[in-house]
Amino acid sequence: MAKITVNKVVHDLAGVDMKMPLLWYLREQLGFTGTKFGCGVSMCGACTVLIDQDPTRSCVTKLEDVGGAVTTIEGLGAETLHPVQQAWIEKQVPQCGYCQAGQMLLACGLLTENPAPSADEVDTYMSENLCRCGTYNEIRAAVLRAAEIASGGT
Amino acid sequence: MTEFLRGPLTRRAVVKTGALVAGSLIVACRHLTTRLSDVKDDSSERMPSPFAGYLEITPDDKIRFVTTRAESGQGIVAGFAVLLAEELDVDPSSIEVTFAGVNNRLPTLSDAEGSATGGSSSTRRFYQPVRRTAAAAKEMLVSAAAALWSVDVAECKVENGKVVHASSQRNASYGSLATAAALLPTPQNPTLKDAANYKYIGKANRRTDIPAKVTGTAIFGIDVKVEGMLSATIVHCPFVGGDLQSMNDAAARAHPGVKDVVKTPYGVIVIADTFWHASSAAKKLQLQWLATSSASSAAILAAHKQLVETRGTVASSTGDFEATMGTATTKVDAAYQAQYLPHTTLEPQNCTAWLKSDGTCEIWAPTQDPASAAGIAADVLGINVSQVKVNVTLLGGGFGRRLRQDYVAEAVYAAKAVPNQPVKLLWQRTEEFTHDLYRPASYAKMSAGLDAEGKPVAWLCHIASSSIYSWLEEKPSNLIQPETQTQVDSSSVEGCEKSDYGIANFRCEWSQHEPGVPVFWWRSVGHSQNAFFSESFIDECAKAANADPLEYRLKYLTSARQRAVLELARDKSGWATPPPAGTGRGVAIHSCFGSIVAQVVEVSVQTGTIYVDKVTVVVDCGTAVDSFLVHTQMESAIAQALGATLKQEITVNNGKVSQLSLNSCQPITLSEMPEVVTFIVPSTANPGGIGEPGVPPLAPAVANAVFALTGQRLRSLPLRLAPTA
Repeated sequence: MAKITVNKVVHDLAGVDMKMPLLWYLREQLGFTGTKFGCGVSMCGACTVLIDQDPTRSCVTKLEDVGGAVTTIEGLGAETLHPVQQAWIEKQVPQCGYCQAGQMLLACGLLTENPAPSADEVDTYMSENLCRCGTYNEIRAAVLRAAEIASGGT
Repeated sequence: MTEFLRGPLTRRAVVKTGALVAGSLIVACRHLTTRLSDVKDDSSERMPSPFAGYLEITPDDKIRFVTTRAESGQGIVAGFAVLLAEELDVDPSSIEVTFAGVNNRLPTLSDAEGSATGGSSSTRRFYQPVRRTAAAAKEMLVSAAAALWSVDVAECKVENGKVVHASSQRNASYGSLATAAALLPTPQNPTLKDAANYKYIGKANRRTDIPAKVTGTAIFGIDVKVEGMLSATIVHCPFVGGDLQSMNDAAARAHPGVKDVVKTPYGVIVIADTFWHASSAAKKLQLQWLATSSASSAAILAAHKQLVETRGTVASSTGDFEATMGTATTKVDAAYQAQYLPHTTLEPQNCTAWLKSDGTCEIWAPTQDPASAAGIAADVLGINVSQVKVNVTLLGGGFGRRLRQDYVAEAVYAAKAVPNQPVKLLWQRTEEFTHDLYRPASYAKMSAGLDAEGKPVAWLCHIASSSIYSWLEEKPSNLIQPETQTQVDSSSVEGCEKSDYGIANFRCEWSQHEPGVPVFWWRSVGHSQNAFFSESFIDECAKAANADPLEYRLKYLTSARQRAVLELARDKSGWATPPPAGTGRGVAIHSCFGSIVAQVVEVSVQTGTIYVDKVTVVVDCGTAVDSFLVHTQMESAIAQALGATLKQEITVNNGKVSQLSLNSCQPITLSEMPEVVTFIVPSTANPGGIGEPGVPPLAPAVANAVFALTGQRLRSLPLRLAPTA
């Protein structure tokens, strides 16, 4: 029987349309509304979640193609805030906030791949996700700060 | 004049809303004028707004502010918290701000009137009233403590949420005093804290709304959950104007989970158990539309060009343009154009509506105008507006789009089809592009005469564009003000209808052209394109006068405040030192919504692409409530303006919008964001607006910088360099 792990909890997928994008399963079946719908066609990144450690656009990932454990923004900092979230607060990144869950999950992906990125590397990686409010300079600063926090910096 | 409510409000509000805690101290914040006397130079006062909200201090020490304004990222919530915190001496992030809605958390329905959020108006309109509200509450708490301790009020002060009597070492929390304070008369002239003692105002404070946005618990309109809720999506006419001819909805209705398919004046709505089912089913609709518009961008441009060749309606006029041109030493002529722009809020339009069995309607919406939302819902249902309850959520971007209530009407049509079941209607992204109401496309014919010194002495600006006023919804919201010049839509000429450069023979004309493309307010409205026209053209005049463009402006700006802003921009940008090879600098200065902004932009060009590397911003916004909010709103405005300057445009062809996706009409990305350095002119004057004033100078500053670097004068937005050999 098909199952899916979301934020460390295993869910049964019996009777669930396996062609449904993960985004709608998360939002509508599980009630995790932190992951957002911006376009539905993988052009904005607001729907980014982690599948195992990989940032993935859930709007175009069908349930049948989910091959690992899913982490949403709700699962990122359950008891204590994740370094990325800590940095996001420290640098006061969000304005409207709508894109930010996707940005934070994307940042997690970067730091897994590259724990000490340069500013240019941050730009290249994070440019995949759109922010209509223009928080980009704060995002860059927060990713660099998150790298410091994660590596034990104060 | 500020009038405070207390006493009866407490009882009435508790009974009516159930949202307040019994025994709380409540002070309401209302002013009776619709124009702030301090806002002298802002002609775009579109939004009367008498009521800001109310402050509640609960017996268990919670400090809350219920506001009539909406939060779309611009930091209104945070700004109000700073002002309240300053007078109450508490940390701003300890203040919980919630949204009043309509028939919801406000004492009376009329309190919601004029509660639209826009025009960069919320903080500047309510700066004094909000501070006075908190100061009044503080004085009441101090009086209550003094009475409790039988001491003189003058011996008490407030510190970090407590009233303190130093000499007897007694203190009491605000919460413990709230009930007693609520019985006292409200001071009508509370003393505000002196600027010399500011702890929070002007500083970079932490925003109250950020933690929830970082943990994913913040609720936007799209996130609303109501027990038993259905989901819906809408397919609008693919033409900018058109009618549904026929529909075959059999396949859509047969799709799993679908409850109904509803034809409405707005489009065809599919209602299902989930959005996934509704949106999948919507793809199966077979719809035939008859276009009533054949608008095309090429035809619009041709019409605009023709219109500016004959006299338009005069918006403003001083002196004698023609006579002065006759004797001018140098003549400068140029024509500019700007395209339609989409709002591209990242959260698509949505609304949840519930028509209940008692005939009342409840709505949840990310709206900038809850009063109009209630009004349009009442219209659709044929009920009294007092029967509509509106809950305002966070907005995933506003930019003016959510001043329109079309998505509310649509959701209510859906709710009508499934009575007694809540239904959330959500737009697809393609609908956001094809069915937006756009920033108008405009054309400007500019003509100037310079004297022997190079001074601009004659100036004609003739604008051709659509009228936003003519596209406002049939039942106008409270935010429409009658135009004083009924033949000119002031929003079409704002930003170029007068000169900041003391040009004695000045005329601004407007010609209206309506190709059938809907237009609406977009961040900074008319200023967004008109500043591009006027601040590019003054640069061309400077060139014709062989003058440095910044010094030229300084020489002729008539306002000392504007000159001070530009001087600071000159100093902070290093203007006097030539930029490094490969970098061009451009400048622009513009005033709108009560603030003055100058921007110096540095650009470079690689393989024919323009890069904006740095923007130095100087802003005079009167008192800066929070320096970080000012800086981030400048960044936000610049990001949005840059997308419009270099990338985004909406074109139409045979009545259809050509851009259907984010990839074809993309805002800027992180790697395209310039470094932004912001300098705030110190001031204790009342605040000016901050949400929009950062937009207008950016496009002309970039065009001016491109000219400085390449010698190409680009007069059409978005800017495209001609290929060089």
